[in-house]
Amino acid sequence: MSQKAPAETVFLRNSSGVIRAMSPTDGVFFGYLSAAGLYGLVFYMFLGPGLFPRANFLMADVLTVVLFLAVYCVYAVLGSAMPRSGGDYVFQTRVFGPGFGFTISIAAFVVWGWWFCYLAASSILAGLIAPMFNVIGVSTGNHAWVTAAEYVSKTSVRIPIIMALILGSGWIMSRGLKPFLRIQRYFMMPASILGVVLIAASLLFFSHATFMSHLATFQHQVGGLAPSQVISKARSLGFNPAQGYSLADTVGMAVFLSFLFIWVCEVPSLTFGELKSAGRLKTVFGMFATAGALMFVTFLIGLVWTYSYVGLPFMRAFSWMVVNQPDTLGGDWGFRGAPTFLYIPSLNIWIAVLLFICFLGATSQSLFNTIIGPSRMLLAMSFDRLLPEWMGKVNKKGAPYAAIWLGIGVAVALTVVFEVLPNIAEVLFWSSFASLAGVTLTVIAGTIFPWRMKDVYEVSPASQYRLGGIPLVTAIGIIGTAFMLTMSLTNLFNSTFGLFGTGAARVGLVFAVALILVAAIGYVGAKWYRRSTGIDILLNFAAVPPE
Amino acid sequence: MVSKRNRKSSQGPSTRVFFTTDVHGSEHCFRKFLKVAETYDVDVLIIGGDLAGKVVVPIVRRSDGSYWCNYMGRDLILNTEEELAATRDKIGRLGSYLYETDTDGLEQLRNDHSKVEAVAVELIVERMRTWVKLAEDRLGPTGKKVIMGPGNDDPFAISEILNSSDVVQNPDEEIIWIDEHHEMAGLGYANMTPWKCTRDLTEDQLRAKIGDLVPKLQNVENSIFCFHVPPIDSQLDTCPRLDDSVYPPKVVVDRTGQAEYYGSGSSAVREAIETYQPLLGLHGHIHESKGIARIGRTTCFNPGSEYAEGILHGLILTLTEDSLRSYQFTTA
Repeated sequence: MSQKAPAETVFLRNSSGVIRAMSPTDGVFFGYLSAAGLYGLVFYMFLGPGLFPRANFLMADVLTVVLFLAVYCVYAVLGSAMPRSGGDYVFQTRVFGPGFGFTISIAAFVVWGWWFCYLAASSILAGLIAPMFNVIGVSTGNHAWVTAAEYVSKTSVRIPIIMALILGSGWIMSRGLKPFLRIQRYFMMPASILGVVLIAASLLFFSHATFMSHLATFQHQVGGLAPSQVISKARSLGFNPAQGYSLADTVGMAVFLSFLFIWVCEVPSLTFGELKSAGRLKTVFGMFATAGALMFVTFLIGLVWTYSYVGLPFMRAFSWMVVNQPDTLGGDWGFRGAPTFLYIPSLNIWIAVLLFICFLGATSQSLFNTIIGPSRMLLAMSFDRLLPEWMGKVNKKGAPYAAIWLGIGVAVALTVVFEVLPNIAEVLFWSSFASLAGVTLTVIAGTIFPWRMKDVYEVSPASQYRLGGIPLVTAIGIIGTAFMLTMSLTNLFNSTFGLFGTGAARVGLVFAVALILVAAIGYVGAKWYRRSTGIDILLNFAAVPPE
Repeated sequence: MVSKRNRKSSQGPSTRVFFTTDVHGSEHCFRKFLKVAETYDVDVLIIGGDLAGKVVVPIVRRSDGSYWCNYMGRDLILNTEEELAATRDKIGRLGSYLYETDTDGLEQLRNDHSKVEAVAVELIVERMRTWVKLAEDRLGPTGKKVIMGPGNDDPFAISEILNSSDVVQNPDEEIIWIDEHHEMAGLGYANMTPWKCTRDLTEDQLRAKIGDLVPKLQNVENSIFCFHVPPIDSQLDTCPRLDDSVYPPKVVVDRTGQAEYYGSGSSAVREAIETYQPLLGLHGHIHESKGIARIGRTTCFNPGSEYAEGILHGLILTLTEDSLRSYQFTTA
């Protein structure tokens, strides 16, 4: 029976239309890859048991995914109400005021645009290229590959390669969003999914016994501890791999996961101005939720690996020794990392190369999003006259080229600093955890949005949803705020990466606060300067009540 | 509320201008426009085109006295006059028009597109009359200069309403003095779009209109070109390329499925700016191309538009006797 087309209920005049080009599917890819889906397995499966040995990973994963739905909902409400590029900067300036938004965003820009840019390039080299060369060398017996791995690990060689990776990515981004979206759609995302499939397939095709036998072979080849001795060795060094779960470690793992899950919504929100259907609440929320679900599935596979395939006690002991006793474990696993570990079941060189390429697809996106996000932030600030006009220059491809080259230019210069002075790099690493605070502020902004921006809220898609008489975004925002505050405070007071943790972590957090203070001074200075030229910055965001 | 500024500076007295565009029938945006004189402390208020909305939402009277409409994918049943008024208000905020009819009327609209256009023009005219009256009542006593011009999407019928007001000035194909030093030449036409709108022209026709208008300026170097369509390839006109061999036009994609972007602005406008080099160019038309561009000594702006979200994008310009002292984009 044929179906009749639905009858028109709304009629359009013959008039021009507005069309955006980035699809929600691209948005899902963007969110999943920005959260480092596949590479998240590094933290979750390979390092997680060593950092948080008593964590219940399933509970941490479920807790994070479920509660992040509240965060995604708030971002979707804000994004569909204000579908323009700029993300947290736009939301916070409009709800709290320009001082707040500028201050937090500039601090985030420094860490994200300069440190993360370097970190992503460095991870590609140190976490993928070098270990891949080494695995090829060990497996084929061709020592030239091992020498190549050692060569690209030298500081004098790392520096130009990292610089080249950053500059190359900047060049691609200066040609507009389109080339990046193509690379994301046809390489990064398929590679990530293939990587997850390969890992899942290894569970099916290679038994635990095969895995342990292959690991023994590999450890023998690289001069590491035999797998049969790992647990006993760890015990002799004071670690109990059979200890029960603790809430502290589970929450600690959740904090680590949160640090990945925030990128699902935070990064795509920076490009809402380029996203189709950005004004549709359900579409945007669906986009975030789908990316979050993909993350959950990725980590679920990691869970099966850890608990069922490798075995929790062994994984805990191995990971703990990677983190705390690398010399005793041998085999240089701090260098090899999760991609090498995941090749062990097959011990097949072609699968190894394929896995590394998959990880490359997943990791390389981080390099691009550290350019996309900060440049869009600077563009928004330039339009608001908080930054000089030249930072808002856009080329024919629609790329904010001045902001892009400013960001990567400094990142390239800082590469030398980070490589020669790794202590500084470590400080920046710990300061980046403060980005949880930035997302927390946006969630609070969303919670109070119906009152702070009443007229914008009332015409937004979210206004039709209420729970017990209060706006649904407020009800959900309260849950999201409670969750994010818990994560942020747990981070702040964690014994490893908080104020009471390692020296570098303490310095990192203090550095983050100092950045915010410097940015606040910058804001006051910008406001004063603009006022002297007849511009009142506060007018950019002043509420104009309708007549 | 912003306190009054000392307008006299070392650069002499100044004129503050607020420019917005492409409100597309949004009651919310227009009512904010009425308040910006007070909030931003400006002397001149300009809407640079595309005043009319795009969407007609029929609301059908049912036999039991209630009303039915479908809006944003939801069926709404309205049982009281208050609910009807609230819905009219909500739909109007986003720039759409509510059309009260019965089931026969709805069928007529479905079967005859020319009827849709006729109904739309009627509703547009009605709203425009209301807006002009509001502007006269609210802004007339303030002495502020109010300039509202049509754009390429606007039916010719609204020009009569704009021209009939003694508070609101219509700059379309006219020269208006915004202060004693600066003239503004207005043009609401655009180069041909895939939708072939009411005021779309060929580039030659546009060139001719500009050629007739600009010579009327007394001091072109100190003037403002308020041309609705931006100059071509200026970054104020970037949008996806459309295939207009089908209706509605669809985005042209390359082999990899990505949209092709291009500068859709007018070459005639660009030539005029390059030739005459006015002080400023104020443009709209491409909602997503908010920005600033310099063509020689001329600074061109497009404040963008998000009328459907109830957000009034604008631009505050501070003009001295012979220069642009400052500018800032606003988001209300």
